[in-house]
Amino acid sequence: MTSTGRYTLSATRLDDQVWHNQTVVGNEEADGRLARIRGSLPQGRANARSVAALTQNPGCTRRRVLDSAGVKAHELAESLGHPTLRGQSPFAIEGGNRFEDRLKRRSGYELLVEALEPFVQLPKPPDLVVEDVNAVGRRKDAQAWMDARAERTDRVLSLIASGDPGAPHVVDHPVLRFDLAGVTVNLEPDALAFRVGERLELVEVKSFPIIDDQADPAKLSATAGQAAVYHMALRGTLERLGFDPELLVWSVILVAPRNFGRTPVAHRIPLKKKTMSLERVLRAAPKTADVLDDLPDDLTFDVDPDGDLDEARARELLAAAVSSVTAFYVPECAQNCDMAKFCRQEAWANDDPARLGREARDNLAGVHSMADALRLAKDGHGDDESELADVAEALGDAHDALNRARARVPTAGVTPPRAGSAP
Amino acid sequence: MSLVDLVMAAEAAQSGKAVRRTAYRHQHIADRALVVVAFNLSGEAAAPLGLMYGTDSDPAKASLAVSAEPRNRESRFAAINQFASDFVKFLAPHLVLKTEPKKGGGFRQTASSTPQLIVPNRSTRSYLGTRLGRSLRYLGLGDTHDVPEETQWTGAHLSWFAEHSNLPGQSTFLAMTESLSQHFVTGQSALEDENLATLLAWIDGVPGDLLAELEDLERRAYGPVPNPDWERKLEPIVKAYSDGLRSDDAEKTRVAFERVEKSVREALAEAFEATHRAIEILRGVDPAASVASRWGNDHWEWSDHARRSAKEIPRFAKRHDPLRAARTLQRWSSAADALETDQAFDDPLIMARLDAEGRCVTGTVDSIDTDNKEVKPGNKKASAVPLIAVSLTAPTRLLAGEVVRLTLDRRVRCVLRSIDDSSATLAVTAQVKALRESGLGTGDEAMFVGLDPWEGMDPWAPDETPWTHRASLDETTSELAGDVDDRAVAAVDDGAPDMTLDELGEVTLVGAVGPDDEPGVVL
Repeated sequence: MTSTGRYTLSATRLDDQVWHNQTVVGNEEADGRLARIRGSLPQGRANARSVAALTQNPGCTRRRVLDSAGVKAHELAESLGHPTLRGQSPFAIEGGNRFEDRLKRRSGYELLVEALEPFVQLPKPPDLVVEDVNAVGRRKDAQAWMDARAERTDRVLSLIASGDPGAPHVVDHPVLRFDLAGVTVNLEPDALAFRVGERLELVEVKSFPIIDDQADPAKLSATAGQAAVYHMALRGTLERLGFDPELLVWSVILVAPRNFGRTPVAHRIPLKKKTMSLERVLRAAPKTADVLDDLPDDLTFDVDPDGDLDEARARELLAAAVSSVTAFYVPECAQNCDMAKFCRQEAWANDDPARLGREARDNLAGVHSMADALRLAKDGHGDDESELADVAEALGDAHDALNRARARVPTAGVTPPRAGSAP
Repeated sequence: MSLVDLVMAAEAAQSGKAVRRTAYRHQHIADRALVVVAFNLSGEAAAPLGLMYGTDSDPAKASLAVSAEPRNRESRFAAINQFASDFVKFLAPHLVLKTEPKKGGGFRQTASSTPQLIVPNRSTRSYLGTRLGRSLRYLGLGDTHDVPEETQWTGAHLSWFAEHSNLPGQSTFLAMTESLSQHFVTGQSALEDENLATLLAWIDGVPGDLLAELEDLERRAYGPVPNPDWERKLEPIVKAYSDGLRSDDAEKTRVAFERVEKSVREALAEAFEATHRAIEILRGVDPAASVASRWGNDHWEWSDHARRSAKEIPRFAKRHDPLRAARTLQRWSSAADALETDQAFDDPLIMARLDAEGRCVTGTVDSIDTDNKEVKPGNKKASAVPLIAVSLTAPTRLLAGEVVRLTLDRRVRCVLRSIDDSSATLAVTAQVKALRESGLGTGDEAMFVGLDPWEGMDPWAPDETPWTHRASLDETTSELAGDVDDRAVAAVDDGAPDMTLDELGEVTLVGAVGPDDEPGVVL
């Protein structure tokens, strides 16, 4: 479970409001096309989760276009008839909220400072200076609020980086602007802590437990991936403000519940490798403007702006539009991307080896369908596919070996019947 | 994923039905296994919402332990203690020690039988063992809340099962998704195979559109993480339960509890039935030859636990000390090697993976020269070295000089003397007697595999900490193994998800959660 965006308990849910992604692609034509793709659909904002979805699968054009155009992937998937299963538990959300609230507001940041003690020595309240960036005051317009928070974050960072004695020790709810392959996204790490007189630390609060100093590896890895994005963004911000990015320590301090209770414990997670590999991945990713060049000019996901098509027709048009943007599906997408169910159905329809996973896809490089793989295994390669000779030979060997083995055990292919039920 | 698996997966994808990965079953399935299915309250490390368990395949006969508010200590332990009491009863006959004569004289004590626990998926196994078991393990030590002795015992037993479940080839603590995917290949990914509902659909087959059915089945959760939509419906009832407790409204509490119980029962019954269906499928496959000896090893290990349990509640360290870690690692890796070899010799379909890589010599026996005598290296006298001439019927990549074994009888060790495209000659260098016993004769099909498993005693059981494990030597062994005082500290340190009734009263209803919502409060 990745986390960092904000979830409000009040009736004014931020997600319900319209967010304007600052889509700075660099040329007006591309901006216009992205606007057309989204049409009148409600705008989503890129967050740490969508960044994760993209960085897990940087070769996926479909995901890139959705993020750049600000189309909400889960709503699109729902309209396509393949809603995501990636739901979240109200109990988990409530528990996570409560944990963070105790660390910060309820204890006047004392619990957070205590948890951080092994790594960062901060003064205890009331000497502790906390800058809550959210306190810039609500703006009517969500975008204006986000802008104000980003500006405040910049100002506070400048104070800290220049060694101002009055600089805050903890920056809560900072907003970092990050250029993700041509799209500016707003990121909200849990906190930044400033070790007096020295360096800047990134802090992330999570509600999964750390039992006997060990956390669930999948969750830990997701956290590290997310923190690496924050780290890049923060380094970028420091550079933009004219400071040395090395001021930021190459790690994140994870604060999470210890064992089975609710006492916080902090662990330092190194980030250097992760951040560097992320940088490489993002550098290699094609720019959004280039991606758009290969798409049909009249592409839009807003297939029914006036709402006068029946559901089946609208779905059909939408599916055609989405399918015209190629995806790079692997089963692991389901963990990060809300479009995964639709892309899976597409992979099945195309009989794409990727439906079995990355390894199968790589082993069958050049073989475009499972049926082809089976044909190559049985009959070898055709005259016009000499480039598949190697894979056909390997598959043929496997197929022959399998047949020899099956001949030895006649029952080997039989599935046991369901007891008491007719075949 | 080997290419043989890939071909099988392609077959499965084309037919829309799972394909057998193995010819035989490589795990033991006991007659009376205890099936346990569980849901944990999301956001907590070990706070069971419900556990359904029993040895009968009918969920109506299974026991159910439910906690309507797992964050409340009384409610949570009411469920845990009920399960613990039954769990200890289930294990009791298996813990009875019997005395039997040892091979070389003398006597030893072994457990009278070996228990088997079966859960629907890997995550339930790690939840029950390393989470729930770990959370109960140190109770009763130091300054902790009082719990019944059965609950402390359950912590110890679950900890044993958790540890032992890491041993490759064990059958005491099985996760059905793991077992089924070891025996069947589907046309979906390994990740998707972790969902027991869809895995069973592949094996049993579905009428109509498979993908649509799978999408539908993926909505079901067989634990330990409940379905978020279901939790959303549960949230107000759980709240009503704790409200009832706080206002001392017995009727409200009772009604809320019954509603939670009914909901949990329905959800768990489905997982329970599916787990039994998985067991039934595996029972329908004939066991492989070496399953009995691996189950024998399980019995050996369980007896060790039973002997410890005869004295007092066995206590487990938080982590292994370096020496124990090195020994355990060595044991697990040699068990993994042995399992791989045993399965290959037991099962032609697994051997086929080696065959596909060209690591087998397959052919018709042209002649067996039993009169050939040679002086083996280190010997002075000549001894019998039968020569087997084979006409190859399948391609191989093996080269002259390689050591191979006869797949019919793995004791027969041969050296590949010469090989060309159509024929090969093999010299039997060990176990000539086994060759005679195997009855291999001219005209028979024979297969030799380029495996040369170690057959002696384990060559290396470290009695001092090897350099690979020295990094953590600054932590003293006793500290990690935990003498009583340390464990008392450990227990206090564990914490608990307990919330007072007043705190529970402050819990707000979250309701529907969007896929992009995240915890974190806007102040």
